[in-house]
Amino acid sequence: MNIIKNISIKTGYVIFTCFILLMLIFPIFYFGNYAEPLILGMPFIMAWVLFWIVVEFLGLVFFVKFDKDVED
Amino acid sequence: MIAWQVALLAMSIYLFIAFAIGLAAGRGRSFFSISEYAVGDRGFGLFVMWFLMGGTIFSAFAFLGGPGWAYSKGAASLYILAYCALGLMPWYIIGPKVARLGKKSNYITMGDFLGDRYNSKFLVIIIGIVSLLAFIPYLTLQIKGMGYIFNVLTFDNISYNNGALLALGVVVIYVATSGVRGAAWSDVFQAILMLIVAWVLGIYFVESLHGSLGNMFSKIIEDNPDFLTIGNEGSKISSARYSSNIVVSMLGFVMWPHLFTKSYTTTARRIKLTVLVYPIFAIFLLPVLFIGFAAIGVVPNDALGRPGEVLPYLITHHLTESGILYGIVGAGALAAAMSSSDAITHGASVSFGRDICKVIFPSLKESQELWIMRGAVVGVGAIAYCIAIYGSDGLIALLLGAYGAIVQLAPAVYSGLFWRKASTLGVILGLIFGVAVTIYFQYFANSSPYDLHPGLIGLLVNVAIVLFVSIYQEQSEEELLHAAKFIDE
Repeated sequence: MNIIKNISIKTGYVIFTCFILLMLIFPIFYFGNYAEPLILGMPFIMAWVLFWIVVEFLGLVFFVKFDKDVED
Repeated sequence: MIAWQVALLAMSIYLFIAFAIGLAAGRGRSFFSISEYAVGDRGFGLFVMWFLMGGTIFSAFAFLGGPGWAYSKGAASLYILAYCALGLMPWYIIGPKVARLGKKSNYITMGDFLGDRYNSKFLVIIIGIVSLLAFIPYLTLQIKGMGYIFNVLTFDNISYNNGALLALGVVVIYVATSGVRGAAWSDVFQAILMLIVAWVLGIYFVESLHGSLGNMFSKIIEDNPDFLTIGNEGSKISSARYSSNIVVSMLGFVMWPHLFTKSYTTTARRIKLTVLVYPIFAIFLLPVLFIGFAAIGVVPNDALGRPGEVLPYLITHHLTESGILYGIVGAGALAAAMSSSDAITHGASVSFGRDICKVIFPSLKESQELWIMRGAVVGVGAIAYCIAIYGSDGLIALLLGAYGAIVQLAPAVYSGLFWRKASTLGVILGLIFGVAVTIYFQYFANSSPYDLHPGLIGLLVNVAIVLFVSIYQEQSEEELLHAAKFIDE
């Protein structure tokens, strides 16, 4: 049971990694590729990159929390 | 005291502290154990891991090149944030596996692992050579950064050559004596110092030159809105190049041998928790870009020899004349360059000792091998120093091509860990052709297809060869069984 769970966590992780990557490269990056509006004083494109980095961090928190693959 | 002496004093204090921490880190540890020298006896804690991995990428490039990119290429510089945030993600999957395999079979290098998996000494030597060829220009850049910082911030009173020699000398001594532990603990200090300096400078320059972030970016947009986008007419980079840069950096990041081998220094759980904090490190790099954007419209285009000089220009023209501030900034910049230099010299020394010397002379005793590694720290440092001082820009640009070669190790590593049928011949041919194609598009072709990163084209060729040869080549039951041990460890 544990093995199955770990495999699915790994698969989930790989999908999550690809998802974040896709948000930060073209073609999906077209949605973020605008200088305006300014968000918190930063160009939209910069805020877009930062937003997905924050999402990545929150996602990683989730994976580390549920990943029971601890052997130390 | 006059300003330059104060600055020199502040930088000297920094060098002394880094040196002391580096030396002290190795105290009480065995001086005669390769496992200690190379991988810190596989026992690094979480705190050290964070700064070891973080400090290693905040190199001279981040401190000098980052602002330079923002200043000259605008939105293209966001690539640095993206790749820093993504670069370590694959490590979450491969790091723990490599750590377990390393512990079981006593690996200390990437060549150890691949040589065992593919059962080929030839492959180990290729990896050793590729690593050295990539490490030396990387170190050369750091040395150039260190010399430049010393020279500018002491108002030309310390020459470029002497400044570089001093900073490099400190690194070489603590790495040769304390090994990876020296590099790790001095990185903790260096990374913290450099982050503080980067934030203070970033906020200061934005506020003092433009009033606020919003003002600064509004002015840039008014002047050329496309400067802050990618792939448009006035942008500095095409969308294909931007995207492929990120993909190559993400796949190649953990393939750098000095980062890959950090898998051996700790446990699976700590590797995962290190991956977790990396996006935060990426966000910490933000002010480095702000410094570059703040220079737009302030620093005239023809005032700089290279965009990388934008930060020193701002410091010398738009910061107060206070020597102590110069000193602190200098210390931060040196910290950035040195925290990468130590990991690089250490990685190169271990690769040289284990992947090249030990393979050619298998009868080397542990103590001899260890002395070769310690000697190689000095040797690699000396070669990189000579290139930094005497090498032409053309030579350095040529050597930097080795960067693109690093990502070509990815198919060997990934298929080694996840694909039983990957064959030795396929991996070796893939590596050789991948590197050759990358070099061709980097130096000989006028442009690459769709403006893609040359490393990505090499990688596609590489993967195709690995797949094709591995599927069509007959492999014995024995080979498949051996490979399986690496997949379901």
